[in-house]
Amino acid sequence: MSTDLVRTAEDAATDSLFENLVTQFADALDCFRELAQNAMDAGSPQIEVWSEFEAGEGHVGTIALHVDDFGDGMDENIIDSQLTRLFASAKEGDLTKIGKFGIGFVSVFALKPQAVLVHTGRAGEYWEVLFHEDRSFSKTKIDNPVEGTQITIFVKGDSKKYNDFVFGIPNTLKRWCEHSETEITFEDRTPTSGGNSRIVKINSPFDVQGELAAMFEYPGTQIAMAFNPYPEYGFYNRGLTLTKTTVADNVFSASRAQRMQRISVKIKSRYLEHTLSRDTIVRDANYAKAMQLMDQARDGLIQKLVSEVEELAQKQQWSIEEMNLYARFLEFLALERDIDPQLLFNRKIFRAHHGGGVSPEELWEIKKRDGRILIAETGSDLTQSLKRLNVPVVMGRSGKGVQMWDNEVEFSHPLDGVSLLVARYVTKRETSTFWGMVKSWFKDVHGDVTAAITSPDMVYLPVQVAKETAPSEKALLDGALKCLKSAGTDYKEMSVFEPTAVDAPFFVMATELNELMARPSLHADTSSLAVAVNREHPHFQRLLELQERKPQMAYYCLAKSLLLQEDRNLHFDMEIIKAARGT
Amino acid sequence: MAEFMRGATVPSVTLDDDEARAYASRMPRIMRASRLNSHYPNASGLGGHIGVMNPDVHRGLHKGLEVDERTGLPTYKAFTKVQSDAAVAANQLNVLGSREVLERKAARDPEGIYAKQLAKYDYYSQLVNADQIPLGHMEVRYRKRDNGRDYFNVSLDKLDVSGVFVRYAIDCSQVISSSDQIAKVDEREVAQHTDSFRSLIYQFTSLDAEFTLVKLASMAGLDVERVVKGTVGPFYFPFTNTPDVFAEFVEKHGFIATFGLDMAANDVTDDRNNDPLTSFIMKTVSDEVAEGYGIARQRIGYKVFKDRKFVCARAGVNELREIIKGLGCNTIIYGV
Repeated sequence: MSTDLVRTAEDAATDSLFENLVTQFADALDCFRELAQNAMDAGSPQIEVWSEFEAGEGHVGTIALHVDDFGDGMDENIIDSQLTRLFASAKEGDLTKIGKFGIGFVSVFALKPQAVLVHTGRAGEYWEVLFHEDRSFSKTKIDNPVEGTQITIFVKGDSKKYNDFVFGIPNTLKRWCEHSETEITFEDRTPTSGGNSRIVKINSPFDVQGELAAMFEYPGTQIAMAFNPYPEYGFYNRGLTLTKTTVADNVFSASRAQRMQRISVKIKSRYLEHTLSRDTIVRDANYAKAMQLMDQARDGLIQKLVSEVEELAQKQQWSIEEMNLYARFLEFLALERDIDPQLLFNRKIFRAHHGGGVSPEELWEIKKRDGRILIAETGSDLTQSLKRLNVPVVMGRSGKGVQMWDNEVEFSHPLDGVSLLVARYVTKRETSTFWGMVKSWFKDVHGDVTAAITSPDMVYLPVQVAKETAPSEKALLDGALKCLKSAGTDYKEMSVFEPTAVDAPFFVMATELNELMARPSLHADTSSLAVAVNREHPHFQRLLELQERKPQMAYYCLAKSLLLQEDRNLHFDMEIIKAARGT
Repeated sequence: MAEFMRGATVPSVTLDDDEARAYASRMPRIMRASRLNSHYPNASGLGGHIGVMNPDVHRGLHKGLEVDERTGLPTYKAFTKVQSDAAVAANQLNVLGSREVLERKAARDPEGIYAKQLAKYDYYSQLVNADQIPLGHMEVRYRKRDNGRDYFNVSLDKLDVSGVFVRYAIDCSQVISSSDQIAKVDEREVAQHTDSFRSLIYQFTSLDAEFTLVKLASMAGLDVERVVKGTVGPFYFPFTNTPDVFAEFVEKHGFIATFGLDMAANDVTDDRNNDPLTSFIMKTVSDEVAEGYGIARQRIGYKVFKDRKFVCARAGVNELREIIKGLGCNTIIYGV
């Protein structure tokens, strides 16, 4: 029985359409991908691709390229209605199949074969179909049982051409089938260099390169992800490569491309399919379902990152490797802008000097309390003392070395990410409250938080609070304190300190009088603050002298000096004068 | 005789270590050579599962290997032993701690407790990485929704009471609004079979594909395209109950592995039986029942194909082919 593959389509346009389909793929060897895809859809457990060369007269001989599968095979009906027909796929819409179009087999003709021989069997029917060079075919029923489908492509060529196939076929299969769920092998059974044939395994594990690599499983979909500064994106259906790229915009929407900028991903999903020309993936409703799963996987990867960061931050002691790892992970976190802030508020992702982790929530509370958030690169006696006073100092760099342009961030130091994250998540925490949100309408909350991030050295002055106060000093301090209180500017207490530096300020203030005195925020309630006056400051000395002659004036001047230095409640001037006169 | 369930026994033979070693190392090769497609239980899982029954793997931790004399496959007890060991392997490795430490301690007393623990460590290490096959697993895969119908592929893998491994695969579709649902599809397009359907299919595994197709086709709203039963076994060895026709071959060449296929489907064009070990159900039932099947065939429009492929020693392929031809069949035979 002989029939012509093309003319049976009964369409004059089919000839040119056929030619277009034959040559549609970038590389003639891509036909092996098509045959592998058909074998996978046929449920074959393995695909054996092999080649042999039979030398002829002169240099030219016959090259036989075989693709054997052990799947469902074909009966006469399938041969007539699908194998030898274009666009006659029975797989359309079936989520358990990769192929959709019914055009895969014809791509073998791109190799310009002399003949293509197909042996196939199904349900006790065994057939031989021979396609000739002109693409007409003959179909013969055979007696010998055949399991699955065995295709042999005969090509005329010399040993060089044969070696090109031997080199090219496994490379093509690796490119398109490396993660195939079906085992695929290639074997050159006639090595022209002599020696024994060698079986090349095409399959490799489905994973991605990068940090924190993780696998996410969903029904019918498997996603491998990892952080990688130079990400790759691979799309697969049952392990068959649909597309692979390093350009996020080629496969994602703009917003998702932005989110995936530093994440390598391989997604194997029943929802994905390639276009007719196999050059990219179809973006349809099923693609959208796959992308939803990808977003879930990304959230999972971020969760993993946060957990790792949190675990590292809370470790009692760090090795150098752990410190570098923490810095690197934190950098990943800093560069990921699209993270649900609720996920992070209560996670102790920041490392406090001298042990323990601190969460954005805790830093927000500290900012409310102290008006500042302390960050230091290294620990010191100062940070040690602050820890004793329940003031955590976060390990990091306070606002240095971060360059930003067009949403891009670059760090000049591994710990630069800390201040960026502190500012970002304390801001988000603040604006998550009603008042914070209202505030953000009128004020740059992020700028405010960023300004509050500072180094402890910029805030704290190591002072020695005087153990004893001279009667004249006490009188002056009490008088000034009374003036302030009467004027409605109440301070908790006032004492003197011994300066340890020549440039020590006139006043220092804190919630407690101790060896570390710090300037509180302008918004802090003064009644909670204790004030210490630099007893050796020339101004204080002059006021002590003044007190001997005009004590009320001295009280007023000291009180006024404090308000001037603090730049607060200056409008209470008249009240202070009245209060001083009343003393 | 090994106890299969309480009060029930299967005829079995216990292989000594040498026999077990030869058996368990041969089985993965046989499974690989069989090239089982998606109609059969997972070949690498089954090969891997039997492979770890090798005394070289369990290092003498188990005594002997029990094999079902009817099928040449390990008994249910032998399969479950591996399954239970695999379930605790990861935990046991944690408990046993460092291999280096065990090795150091074991070197001081090769017969002592640490030597046993080292053997356990190595066994569990191999077990956690070995392919396994579930002894009973049912899955419904959602294929598509079309014209008010949901299309499914149902598969059930099971170590059957007859001692062979079976995959029952059913391609079917149901009217979405049908009251008698076999599976429900959730918003993730994941199909979950109903309990009643699961019980039904479990009952069918010992029966043939035609019976199952006819039974399922009687369910309201259900359209069955195909029922395929792929069977691993029986395998014939010198120590199994081997049919007379194969006995001499088995003595000479060591084994015959058989893999049955029983398919009832709308797209099978002719009734064919290419399985020398079974016959059509219609030939085994009474005339009255056979008439019922005949009516069902006309109504549903299916036909039945039975096949069996074989794996034997490469040197015996031609000889086995002649034997099978003598039984009126022409089957696939792979050599290993």
